[in-house]
Amino acid sequence: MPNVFNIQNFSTGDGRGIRTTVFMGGCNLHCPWCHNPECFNNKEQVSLEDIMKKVLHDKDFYEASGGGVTISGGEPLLRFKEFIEIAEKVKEKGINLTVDTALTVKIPDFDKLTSLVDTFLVDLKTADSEKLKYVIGGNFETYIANVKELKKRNAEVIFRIPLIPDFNTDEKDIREIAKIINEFGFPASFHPFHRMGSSKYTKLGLNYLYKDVPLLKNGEVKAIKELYFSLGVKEAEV
Amino acid sequence: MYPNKTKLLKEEIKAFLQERKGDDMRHYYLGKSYSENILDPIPVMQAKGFKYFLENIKLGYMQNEYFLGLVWNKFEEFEDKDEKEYYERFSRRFGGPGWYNGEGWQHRDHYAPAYEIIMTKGVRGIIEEIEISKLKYKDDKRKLDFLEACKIEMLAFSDFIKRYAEGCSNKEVKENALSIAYEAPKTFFAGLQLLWFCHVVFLYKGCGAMAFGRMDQYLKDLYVNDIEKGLITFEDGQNLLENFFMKITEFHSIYNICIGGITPDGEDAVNPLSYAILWAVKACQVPGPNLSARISKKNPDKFLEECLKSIGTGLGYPALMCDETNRKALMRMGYEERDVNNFCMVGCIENLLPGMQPPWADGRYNAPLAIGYTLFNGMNILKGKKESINTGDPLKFNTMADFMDALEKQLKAYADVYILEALTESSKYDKYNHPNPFMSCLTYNCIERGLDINNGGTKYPCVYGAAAMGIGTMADSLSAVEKCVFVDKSISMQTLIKAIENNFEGYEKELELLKNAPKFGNDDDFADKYAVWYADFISGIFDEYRLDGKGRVYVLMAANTQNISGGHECPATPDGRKARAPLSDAGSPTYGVDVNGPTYTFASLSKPDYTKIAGGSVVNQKFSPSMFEGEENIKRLCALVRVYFGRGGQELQINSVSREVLKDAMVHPENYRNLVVRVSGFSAYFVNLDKAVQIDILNRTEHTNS
Repeated sequence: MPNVFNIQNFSTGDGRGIRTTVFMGGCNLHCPWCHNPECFNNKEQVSLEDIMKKVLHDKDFYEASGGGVTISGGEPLLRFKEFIEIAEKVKEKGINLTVDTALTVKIPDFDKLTSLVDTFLVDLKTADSEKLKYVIGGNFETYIANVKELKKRNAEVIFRIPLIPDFNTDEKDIREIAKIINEFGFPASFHPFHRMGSSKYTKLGLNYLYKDVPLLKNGEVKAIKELYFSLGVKEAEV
Repeated sequence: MYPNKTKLLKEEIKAFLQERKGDDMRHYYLGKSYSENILDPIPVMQAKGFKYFLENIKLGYMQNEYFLGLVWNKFEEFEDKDEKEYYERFSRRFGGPGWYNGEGWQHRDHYAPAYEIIMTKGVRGIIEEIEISKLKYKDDKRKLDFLEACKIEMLAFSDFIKRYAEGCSNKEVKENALSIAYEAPKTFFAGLQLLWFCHVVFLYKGCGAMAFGRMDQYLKDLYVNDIEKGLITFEDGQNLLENFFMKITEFHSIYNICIGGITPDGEDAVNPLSYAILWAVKACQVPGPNLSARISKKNPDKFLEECLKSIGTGLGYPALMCDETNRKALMRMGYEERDVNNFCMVGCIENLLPGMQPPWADGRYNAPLAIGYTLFNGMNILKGKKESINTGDPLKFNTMADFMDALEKQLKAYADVYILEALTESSKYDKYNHPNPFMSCLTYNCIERGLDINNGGTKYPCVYGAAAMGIGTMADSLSAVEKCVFVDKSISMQTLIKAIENNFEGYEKELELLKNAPKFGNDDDFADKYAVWYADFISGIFDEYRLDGKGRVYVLMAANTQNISGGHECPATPDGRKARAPLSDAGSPTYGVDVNGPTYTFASLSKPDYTKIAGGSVVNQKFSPSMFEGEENIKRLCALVRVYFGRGGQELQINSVSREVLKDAMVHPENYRNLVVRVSGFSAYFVNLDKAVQIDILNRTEHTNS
């Protein structure tokens, strides 16, 4: 059974329209600001049947809103086989499928992946390979190679840029990230840091390093986005 | 041409309300006139009183108003209290619908006049019709008395407008008012002025909850014509509408305005004025104009999206009414389709055919009381006395069917008492002697028939509403009884009765079991089937009654804040609700029990057959403000509403307020004076609500998105 720690109907921040988000457990990264810390050691499993029950519940809403299912995580492509199982079931029912991935894992079968997924929401957290490696534990070359594979197959990709204070929000970071975005020519969406996950850390008995990091002010978010736009980045509203 | 004076008028009204002094002078002027015309037929005597009142009240003006007419004119500082009291006695004896005397005459307000009558004919056309009718009924004294009263009131209304206009120093406003004193309005500006004078006069008469009805229909031609001919710009139109809506704040009541839906011919009724009204209400951000939007499949998505954007400002307006469901519900009542297509709302959400049936009236049918009667064989344990019929010893109920059988008998007995009380009330006053001529003149058929609105003058008979309380409390309670007593057998009937008698004190284990039983609002048929049953059974009972042999009784599921007072009368219920705690609100699930998000809540909510709920229902749903940010989110909400209504949902009242904001508002009301919230059908300033209501609003499940 797939390792899934939550299924959330009426999700509105995970792609187009009204969506049901299936959160898969496990992650190869360890972003200190993560809002889903329960993914790391999740043992909970949900049968395909139960997943599909919740997914199919909202079929009317997907159709009316241009929505569908988003598989998120954790890193959903980490358990590739389980991911494909869910994806196949969703596509069997003709439902739009989006995946929300950081794309820093090795993908066993890109053809299979792109044949099932309609839209890729691909995190782009930093253009600095050192930061990626030492702060969050990802490999930059793997990442870029994976994005290229998607590009090669004409997949629909939207870069998701988390706006994390002091990590990727100064001008140098932004210019470098924008350069990558522009190289690929995909649109991007922006996701300001929030602390809504802090209570999860308390519950799990974990220390939340970003507990006291102040939120970006609206003006700051606006200025960051403006800079991206001025560098030629197109926004995808999802 | 008409600069925006919205803010200035808002400030001016605020200052005025702080300073105003004086007593209500209505009964003084009426009584004084009655004492001089005591030999006249009573309808004529009353109409002369109305005329005398309009001739003598002092007239107030505001600098920033485009429309003359202040409700507070009826208040004056009057020194001779003894004289006032002496004359008031003459008037108070009469009361009735024309001049409300503070007693419970029903069907006198909560009305939507056929404003199109006066918009197209003016006072002149109505007077002409009265004259023709007088010739027709020249041998029928009672009809002649009524028609004479109509003529006196219409002419008094016309003279009142003239007197008001003549005292006005603003030439533009004065000339506009004079233009409609006798004739039909020729411009949008004039149409709004006439509408406002009519409305003010109803308020003088003591009618509350007077709806403006389908403003976007009966003012459409004037508006579109003015815009097309270049007489006003779009901005002029907005400024006039805002000024109009701001005037509503001068005197608090609920004034329903209906936009959207379909025309009598069945076409999409949304037009430029529908949007203009929506945007003006949105710009005003005041809780007076109770905006309702009929949402039909025929209306463009843009209309619904604009409605959602208005809701998202925190205003909560408009309430969204599914056109198809409500029309089906009204068609069941036997009206002609054209008339049903023209329905609107009065009060909070009550469905009415404007100008075609007497004003609305309803009461609270507190169904959860019947659960107590069933468990205690007709006893109300909070009062310690027998209140209802015997339905047998509950310890002898062997199945859920036995329980339901007894409950249905209790509900039926309660309905009999409910209707009897309504009939007693409505037959208190003789209808010939208590007419409402002015209202009758703005109603179809009354003049033509020579009969008052409440005396057979209307096209359709009088209807009465039964506000069925607590669908969530009912469904959850029955689900808990079935689950714990009959399926799991985890609680015996005897223990359940003891637990309820003791308000669950010492029965914490049982309370937990009851609370864990399936609840309405999670798309679980175990509980939802009882909500379906509730709508079917209650409407089935009330379908059988007829008022005066004709008038139907509508069921509605709208509680306003009555779920609090209704709950206060009720012992503990098997859903785990404590004695005297609020019932579930209107047509919504019990607060906090719907835990799977809006798509599950709506799946449950679309199960009851709302085409049996002809009065209308209210489903409150609150979303965090972020849910309204961006076009994509608006489209999501639009889809949510379309799917829910497509499945047969009836109504949605959406709030965009977060719990955090509300909590903070309770601690620091001074920072939230402008926070408008919806409370089951009407909008108010949050900080002005009772604490219990505030907590109630807070407890409504908020569906947040990640």
